[in-house]
Amino acid sequence: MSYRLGIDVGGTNTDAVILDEQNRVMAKCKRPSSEDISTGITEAVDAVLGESGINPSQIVHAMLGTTHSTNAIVERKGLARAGIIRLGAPSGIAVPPFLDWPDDIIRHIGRHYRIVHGGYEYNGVPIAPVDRDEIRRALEELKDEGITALAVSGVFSPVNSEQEMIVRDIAQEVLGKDVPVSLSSEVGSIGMLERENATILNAANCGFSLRFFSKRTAKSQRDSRSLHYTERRNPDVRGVCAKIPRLYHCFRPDKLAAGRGVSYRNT
Amino acid sequence: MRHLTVKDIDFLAVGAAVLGSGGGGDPYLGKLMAKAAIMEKGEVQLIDVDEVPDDKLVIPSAMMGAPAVMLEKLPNGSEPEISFRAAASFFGTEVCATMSIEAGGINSCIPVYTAARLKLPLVDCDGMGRAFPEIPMVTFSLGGVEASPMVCCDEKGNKVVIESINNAWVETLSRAVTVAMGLSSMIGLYAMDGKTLKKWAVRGTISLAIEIGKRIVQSNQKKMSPVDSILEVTNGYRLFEGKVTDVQRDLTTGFVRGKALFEGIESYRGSVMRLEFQNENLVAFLDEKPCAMVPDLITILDRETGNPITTEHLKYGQRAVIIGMPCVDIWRSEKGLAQVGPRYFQYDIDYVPVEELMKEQSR
Repeated sequence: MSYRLGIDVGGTNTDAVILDEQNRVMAKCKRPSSEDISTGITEAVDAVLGESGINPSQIVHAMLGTTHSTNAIVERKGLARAGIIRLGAPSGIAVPPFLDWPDDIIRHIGRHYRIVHGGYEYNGVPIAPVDRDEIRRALEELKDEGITALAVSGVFSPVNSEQEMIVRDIAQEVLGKDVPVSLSSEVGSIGMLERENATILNAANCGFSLRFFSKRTAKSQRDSRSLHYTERRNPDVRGVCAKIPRLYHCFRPDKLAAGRGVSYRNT
Repeated sequence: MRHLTVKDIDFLAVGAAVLGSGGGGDPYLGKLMAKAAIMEKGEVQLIDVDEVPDDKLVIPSAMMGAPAVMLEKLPNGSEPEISFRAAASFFGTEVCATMSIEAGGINSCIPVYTAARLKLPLVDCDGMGRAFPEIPMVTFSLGGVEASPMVCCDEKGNKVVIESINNAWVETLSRAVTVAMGLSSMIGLYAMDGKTLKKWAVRGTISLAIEIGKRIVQSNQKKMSPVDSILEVTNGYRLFEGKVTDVQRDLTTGFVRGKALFEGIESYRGSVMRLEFQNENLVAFLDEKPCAMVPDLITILDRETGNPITTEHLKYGQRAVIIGMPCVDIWRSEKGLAQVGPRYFQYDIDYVPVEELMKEQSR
């Protein structure tokens, strides 16, 4: 049996809930939110795990909803240097990633991207064949540029995510397993720029999530390694940052013109 | 003559969506491309139709395809140049400028990109004064200007030249080519000399779009409604204010056909508006009676910000102002209405200009 853990950090309380595969509520609890956010989360998670008696290793997804991630973007704090590999060449060269992003957010995230061959047509035919050596080279260059998180966006990846997953596999070899990878196919739907922007922000926000989870690993006596591990095995940041695209409603379009898309269609 | 700056392109994209009459494709992508090209190559010269010498050629540049695909598979950037140069190679005369065939929607901005990349001026005009779904639906068709030779180009560098017996065939063949190219292509077509352009162009539409966009953006900054100011510059009418209660869309015909229902608010309380569209808004019915119809422009504006809402972004609960704007006179001619009037879009109604319908209503 596998379970999912959901955490919602509100202004007053932090709620934690565990659902089974049929979306049945196994356990729920509420703890006061703490100033540092993570104490409240840790308490709520410990309580809900205790109440349910479920082994953390059976939790395959952890979802964290917190304004902390939004705040990180709004305040430009704690953002990772997220690089992006876009699969789509020869399409999309005219509109590279980060075009029209505000300078102050670029100062934190950087402008680290490569557009490599790949992507699909609307009918599933590849725009160009994927070239593993090209991807490897691109990742090595991004590594040299000092990225600490990676986003991957492919043309029509919501229809077929195979190419994005190839990049993720190569990225784990090149960048190591500690660098979180966000795939656009797991973040949003059709609409390249908005999905890509959301994915970059997801990747840039992984820093917070990873800090929290490693803290938890250190603190807890329980087998929290598996919690950490699952989070990472599903860098499918659905795990941790899935709420960001939606939280993006918080931004006024003029604050992040390119992120305009982020506020639509993606859930 | 004036120069188009990056700021102008922001205004142009907003205003073009108002002229898009609910369709024409989201100008956002074209805006990004045009801005990037201006930043790299410098400002674009915007010239008046009268500044084009009679014997020099102008070749319009545009993007064709399914709007949803255009949002996903983005251009390479070399296509407009390739298609423009290929179209130009058919003629012995010098090509002195490019222009828009459709000032409503994304094709307001694509020619700005082409102009910046090729360092050519952009003529302040278009062939519709709004947006329409098919290639022959331009004023130039009425003047007998041929769309061919037309060049379609994709992001891979493929290009197809179409030479057809008439503009309807250009539409048929280029649509098939565009599907094969992955539902999106860049096109060069309707090459014409300055003399012809002066006779048939819808003049000043690029600066009109910029002016509309500027009014919307500036009103927003002052937290004021821009609706009256848009009506002033477009000679338009407020048709209705209401809340979206239903939106229906049917994609099976290759177009987005559908209707939206609005429930009146404030002075329109108790009334209902039904807006029918095929990519663009076609006919607005106020309590079952037509109050504006194609080829006049019908645009939905966000009630608060005045920002245009295109048909694909219409959602239940949105509060909107629906406005009607007179089209250019040439569409009101017999030939014009045969091409783009209500009957062409399968409505069994005779065209009545929006200003007359408004007069009837106030009686």
